[in-house]
Amino acid sequence: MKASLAAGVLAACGPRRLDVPADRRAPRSRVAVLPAASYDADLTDLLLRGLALFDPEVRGRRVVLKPNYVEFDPHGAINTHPKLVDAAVLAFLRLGAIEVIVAEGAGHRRDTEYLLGASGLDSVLRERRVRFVDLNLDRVAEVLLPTHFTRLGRLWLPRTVLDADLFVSMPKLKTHHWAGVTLAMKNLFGIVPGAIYGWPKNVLHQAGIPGSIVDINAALDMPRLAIVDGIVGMEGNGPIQGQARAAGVVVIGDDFPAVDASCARIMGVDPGRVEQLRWAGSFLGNVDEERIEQLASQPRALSQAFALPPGFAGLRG
Amino acid sequence: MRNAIAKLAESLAKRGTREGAFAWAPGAAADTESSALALLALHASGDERCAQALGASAWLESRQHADGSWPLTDAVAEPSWASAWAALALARHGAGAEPLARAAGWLVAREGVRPGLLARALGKLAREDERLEQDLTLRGWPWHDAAASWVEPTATSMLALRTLSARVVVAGARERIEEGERLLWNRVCVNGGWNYGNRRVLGEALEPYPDTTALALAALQGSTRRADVERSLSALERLLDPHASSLALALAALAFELHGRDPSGARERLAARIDRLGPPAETRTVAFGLLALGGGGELLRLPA
Repeated sequence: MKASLAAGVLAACGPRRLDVPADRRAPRSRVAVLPAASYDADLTDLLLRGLALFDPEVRGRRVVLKPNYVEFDPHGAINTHPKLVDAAVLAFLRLGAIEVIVAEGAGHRRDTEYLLGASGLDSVLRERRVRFVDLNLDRVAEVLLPTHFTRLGRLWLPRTVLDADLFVSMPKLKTHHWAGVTLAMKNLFGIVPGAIYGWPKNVLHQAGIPGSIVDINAALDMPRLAIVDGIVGMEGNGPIQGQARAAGVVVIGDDFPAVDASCARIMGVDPGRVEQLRWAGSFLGNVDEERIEQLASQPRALSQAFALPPGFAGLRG
Repeated sequence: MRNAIAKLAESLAKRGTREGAFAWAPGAAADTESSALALLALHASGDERCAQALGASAWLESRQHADGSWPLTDAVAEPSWASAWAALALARHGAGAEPLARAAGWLVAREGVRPGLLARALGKLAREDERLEQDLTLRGWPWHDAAASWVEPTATSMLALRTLSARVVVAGARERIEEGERLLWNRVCVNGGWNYGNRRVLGEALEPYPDTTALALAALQGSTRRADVERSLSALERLLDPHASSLALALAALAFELHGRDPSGARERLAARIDRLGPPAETRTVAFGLLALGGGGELLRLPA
């Protein structure tokens, strides 16, 4: 039995697909899997080389970086490493961004001061004089969700994200005990404002996690990129209590389902068996291997068979 | 200590909005939680008749919905968890019985989503390591209408309802408060203390947080489970590690004061932190800081 059933609370509302979303997939998507042995490598140079493959419009633009600081554990590997966030700040500034903002709405802890201080992210913010926006408390706008994989219908979302010229999802490469994997798409749970939906953002759990992931991702229409921290990821009982797993990669792309599918393959997971990826792959982005052009290393060549959370053995690729 | 209090008071004064309310940060939109906590902090400072306190109370009174609840902000009008703080602050500010009775009625009626029969049956079928090991049928308070009950809104709603019960008669309040207490004990972490509201996931124990632990302890004043309260107070002391934030130190000092433990260590660390780093970013932390350093714990003390 899947672990999600044990929660009980997740069974209340199943997915609700009354309509077929318009197909937004490109004929082919591009992803770059870049080897990176440690956080002491020249990550700014790595990102500049990776970003050059996608040539995003950055000059004069406001770039919003959304790392994963759902929670902090000094002994764990929960968060996007501050050194990778630092490298992304520098890379986008060198590419001519008019402003780089780091933004997060932590999912479990309300105490943002603690999260930033204990994780070391505040040192990066101070040193680079970068503005941090707490997405849990940001100004909001009500957004009608264009897809209906849940019964949510609408969500309040933060203006900082909605107004971004370029939105960059910077997740950690992790397994997840309710969603199988948590990557660029699931990282968007962190943009949903806690001041309205709470800590945790249980409204999304009640509505169905895979459907919520797809509905939120389908609601955003600004230019976007994903930069996945897979230098050290997490396996097993993620996203909080799993074990650190060195995967030695940074994954970049501008199609979130394609990035997540590539990351899943690196973790030894068949993306076609991950509910949110299967749904997103039907209209939002590319998940099929033959529709993803790998610009650097091949995910399968780096595949590591991450330990899967209980109940998710069927995801193994 | 006086220097830190002055810095916090100066910072709070800058967080007022044009409408007379308070916002979570300077320049942000007025919100109910910040306004309520600022009002409490102004009381703690002896400034309850100042223009900012009167403005905040008037703003809160004007925003109460007919059903007794408050919105989070003017833009987000749906009934909010922040209603608990608004009701508590207005009760301390001497608001009339009618709005307080409406608020209490709303709090009594508000409850988190609970699993239906099918979900409960499926939960019972789950393997041992997949169970959450908590009673999801207990009624506490949610952050949002469409969410389950969690520790912080349960604790703040209990605080408010117990405060209101001293002013107005509310049918059903006692039962809700007692069930709220059962929910908090059901969610307490293995070695005491609380996080957002899960003690175990997939068989693994989760760690408590200092802020939610302190709020839960504030709501559990007078609990007959004294040994369990003491265990969580000790957990709170352990949680104040070198990275403890201003919020954690302020709330911990208040919880210690309310339960008869010496709050001076947490207060001194809070004052030193504010001297070193300046006022915190969030208005609620500024307000809790003023309450903790200015003897404002009495405003959260519950009737026996």
